[in-house]
Amino acid sequence: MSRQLAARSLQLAAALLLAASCPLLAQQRIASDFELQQMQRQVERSRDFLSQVSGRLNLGDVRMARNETSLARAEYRKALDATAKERLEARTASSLTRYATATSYAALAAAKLGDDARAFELSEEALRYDSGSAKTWNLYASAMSLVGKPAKAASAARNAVALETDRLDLAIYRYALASSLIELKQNAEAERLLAGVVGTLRSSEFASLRSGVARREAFEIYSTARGDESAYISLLNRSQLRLGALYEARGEAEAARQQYEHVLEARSDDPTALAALARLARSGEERERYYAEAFDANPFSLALIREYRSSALPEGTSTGAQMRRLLAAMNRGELQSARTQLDALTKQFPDNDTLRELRRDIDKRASGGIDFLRTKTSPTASELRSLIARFNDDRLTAEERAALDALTLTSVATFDAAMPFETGVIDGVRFKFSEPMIFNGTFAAHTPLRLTYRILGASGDALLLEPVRLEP
Amino acid sequence: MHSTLLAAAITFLAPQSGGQAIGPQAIEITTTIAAVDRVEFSVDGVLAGVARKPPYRIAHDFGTSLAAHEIEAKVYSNGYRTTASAKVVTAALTASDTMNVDLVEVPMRVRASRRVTPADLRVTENKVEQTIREIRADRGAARFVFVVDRSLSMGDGKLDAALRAIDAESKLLRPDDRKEIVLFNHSVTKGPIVGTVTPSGGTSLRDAVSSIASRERTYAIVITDGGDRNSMTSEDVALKRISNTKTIVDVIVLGDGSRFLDKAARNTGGTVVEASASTLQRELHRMLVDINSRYTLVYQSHGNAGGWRTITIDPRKRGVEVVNARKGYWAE
Repeated sequence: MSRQLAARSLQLAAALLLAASCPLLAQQRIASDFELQQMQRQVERSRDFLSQVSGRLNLGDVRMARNETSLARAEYRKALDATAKERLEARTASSLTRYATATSYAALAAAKLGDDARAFELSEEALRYDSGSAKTWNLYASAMSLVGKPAKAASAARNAVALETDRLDLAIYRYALASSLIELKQNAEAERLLAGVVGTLRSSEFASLRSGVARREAFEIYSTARGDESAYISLLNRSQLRLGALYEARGEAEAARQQYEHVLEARSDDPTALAALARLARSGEERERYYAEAFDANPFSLALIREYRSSALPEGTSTGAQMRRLLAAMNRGELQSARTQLDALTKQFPDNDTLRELRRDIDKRASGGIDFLRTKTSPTASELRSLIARFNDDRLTAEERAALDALTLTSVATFDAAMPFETGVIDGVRFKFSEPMIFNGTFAAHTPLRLTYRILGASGDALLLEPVRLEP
Repeated sequence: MHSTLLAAAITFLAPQSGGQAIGPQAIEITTTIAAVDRVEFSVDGVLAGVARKPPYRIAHDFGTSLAAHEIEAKVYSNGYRTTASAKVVTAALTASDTMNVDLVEVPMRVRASRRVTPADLRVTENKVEQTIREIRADRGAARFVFVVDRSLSMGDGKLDAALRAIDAESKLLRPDDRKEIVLFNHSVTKGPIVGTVTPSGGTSLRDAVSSIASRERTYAIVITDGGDRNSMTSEDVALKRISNTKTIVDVIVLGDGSRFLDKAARNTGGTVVEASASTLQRELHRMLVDINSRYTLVYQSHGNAGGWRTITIDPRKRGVEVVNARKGYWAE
């Protein structure tokens, strides 16, 4: 039996990864690599319908959380194909329940593929065949949530809760109901439900399940979980994350932190909890540590990338560390270095949309104007960075090169070390001379000085300048 | 812009192709191209300088690297409408100029009624006799890496006992030793322990042990209840990574044990002991005392190709018994 934790919750997983965002040594795996590996095994080894469909949906959801949209869609399409075959076979065998289940999953797959009309149609059809099943209502709720009908989703989830008697399934449906209510901004009821689910799951009632989890060292989190242990771990994880997010949204940082820390007690590399704890950190050091672990856990979360502002250069070879170095280069305007790093990451992750997005961002910044060639005024930092990019890409026209050659500019510069001067910064943009230079006069390093210069070219992310004059 | 390669029109005066380029040196070309706007000089793909008029020359510091350099001169002419370029490649220091010293350190436990000297032992490597340089009674400063399992099965006080024991027994390390901690469950984390560590997740034992590979003299002390559910690294690869000339793997097992750890300890000259949460600190104490009292035999390897090299140490004299020693190492 497969349990759809998140019809909504899968989307929830992706949403959390994006909105809240959802660890040192040799090449380290991304947290979701473990789920990918398990699900790949499942779809390769088990031929039955539920293994196939849950495996494909989980694989798609994991890919979505990593912003690998095309890979995710390919998995959802395979899930849809599996439901088509199952529906046909169920019809032939005159098994209405089986047909309803397959149709419910077809609706879910269609919803994940963005085919809202088909998802709605399939969901309604499934209910016509099996409206007495809590599972069918839960799948209906999941699909409705995905197609942007939270009121229908909540209503369906209430039906599922009302029909279910199994304690674990009941907790799952309550979680689904809470998720829908959050979308409807009915947070008070959602919080009560989630607190109840978390309390129940942590109670002695589920002690034997917890023992099983401990014995198997199970930790993988799925949106469509198979088996009680897997469903238990996934539901506890998701419920605590949702509860933490509710507390966080209302400014109860300590209560939120506690929920996120509970998540890490079961899954030390949960990317959503790590990112949240970075946001809620009590010190700069703690924030950096959680950010580092969050990037190692999921380097491709756009929300995480957007909220990360550090320009520090982290050490390490993990994908997360590589991503943070790339972002640091972008933050410093070192577009050439950023491109080189991005190229290396793209080789490893060719289907990643986050990397494509970052490339678009770099290209946009690199293609800015260089109006100072025309106005002959002091260039801005943005113009200098665009100029560096054009040099590196060999995109300067003959006229622009000739104009640049004839242009003498003056900017405020600071030098990195005492004379002879060789390297420094103009408005945050690095520059260097071809060789160390001594100027007449007394000039200190790290002090703003007026430098008159000509631009010779770009050397990596630094401008190569020919100094003309230096003044205090 | 017309871009053409007219190498014949550009001649490098310095450096010459095949010459060596080290330290500050001039880069200079001459060209027959007319109406030159500028000459850009790049070294290894990075713009090094620009000359606008003859002599087309810049000064450049090649640094202390002995590697070869690719130097390109790009000549812009005709109002930047035409480019031409030429390249030279300088020579790297040749292999015959370098010397490969393959020093092998073999930690060993020896029973003897007196201090052991090189004359007491015979060392062979893949059956080729080696010359012992020295036998130190002192292990020397080293890197100690405590590789601690923090998976879910390390609950019931085992993880706490391990961390407490490391904390308490680190006093046995020498002031010039370096201590590191690697925590692992399904993923591997290096660095200082911050906050409370809760047992959670799966087990990537081989990934964790192979992550400590280093060319430094390293004692890895692995504390685990065994098992490996999540490693990406195969047993062979993990063993190869740690079976170098300077890593010793000692193991404290809190559960069923592990064939991989048995092999790792055997290959590197380490030991495997069993313990429980209550005896863990005592066993770690014994282990560190034992490490501190080991001899280190040093020889310069010769006469063997790369790959696995089996080390055999035999006493030449009566009254000397080699209890335990590294069994070999991988030579790249």
